Amino acid sequence: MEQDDVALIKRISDKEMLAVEELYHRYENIIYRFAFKKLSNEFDAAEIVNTVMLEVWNTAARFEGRSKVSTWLIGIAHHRIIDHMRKRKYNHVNIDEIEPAADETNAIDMHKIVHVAQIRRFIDGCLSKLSAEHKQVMELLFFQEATYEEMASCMACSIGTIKSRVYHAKKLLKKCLEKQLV
Amino acid sequence: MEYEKIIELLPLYLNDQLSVEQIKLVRRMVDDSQSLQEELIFLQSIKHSIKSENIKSPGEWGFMRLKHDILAEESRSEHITPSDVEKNKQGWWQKIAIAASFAFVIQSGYIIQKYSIQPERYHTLSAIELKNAVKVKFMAGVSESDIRTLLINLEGNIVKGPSAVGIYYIIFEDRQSAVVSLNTSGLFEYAELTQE
Repeated sequence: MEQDDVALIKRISDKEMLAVEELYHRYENIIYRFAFKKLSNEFDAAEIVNTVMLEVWNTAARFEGRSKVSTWLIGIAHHRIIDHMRKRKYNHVNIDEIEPAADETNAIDMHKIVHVAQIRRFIDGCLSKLSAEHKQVMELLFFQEATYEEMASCMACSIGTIKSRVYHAKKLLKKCLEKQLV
Repeated sequence: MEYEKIIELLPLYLNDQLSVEQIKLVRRMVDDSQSLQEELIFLQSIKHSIKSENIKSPGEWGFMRLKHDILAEESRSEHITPSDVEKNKQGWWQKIAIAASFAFVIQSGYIIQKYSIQPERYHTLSAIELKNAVKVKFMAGVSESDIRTLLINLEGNIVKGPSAVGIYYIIFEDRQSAVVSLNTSGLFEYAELTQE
């Protein structure tokens, strides 16, 4: 698949429309979901998809193959999302600067959480309550199936930051599930 | 290996991204630890939930818009007007610009043909008379898939937008009828003809 993707990028750099169509259909859903997790707005997420693909059209010749194509695309999306949020004056809170609440350090009864048949019913609701950044890392980790290194590259941060976000996202989910099961 | 390191590896294990040795190690550690088994079940549930989430992306509609924007960009990048030539004092630039402005006339038809799969539905931005478009603003909370379906049924092509306040310009074959349909659809704050 990766070789196919690289070949597509080469064809796009030659201004082949069929190639950009194929790349679009391969990745639009992934980029859209990633943007939607951050922006929670269908139109804005669709705008990001369009912006990313336009940028690919214009800069495909500069793709050096140092990362996977998918990582490159999500990385572009990440930066375009930041630009978009600045333009639209989204309220942004840096979750990495927020200290975990004191009660998050309390032990969580995992036995109770995972041995309840209804866990899957509650997980959707708990996932929706995560912050945008936490949703994004969970999306990349479990939908895109990205490695920590790929996620760090996409989101222009350290691997440590990514692991921290995953850790806190899981902790928040567990806390939420515990409350649901009371 | 430390317990926390195994915890970090579990998502990668679920995603089948570990080496053979790592897989054996994780399986051995999980077999010996109830808490790791519980963590794995928890992660499987998260993954299942995320994979099952139904988030509809723009699909073909989004590609139509992309194609339009690419076409518009390509046309703009080829176009240099004679007035640009007069403004520039450098001789070599003048010769290139003159050549480019004649080339644009020949190439614009080629560009449209090269990049358009449905040429009757796509136009370069420079060729579109915005005064013949319909100006719309969507209702808050309306899903893009509903709008997409409606516009495809009405054979509308978005030619500009969204602006910072969410205004789009759409071209229809019969814009008078389209305005009526759009305003009765319940999806738009307003849909109005632009000035002729």
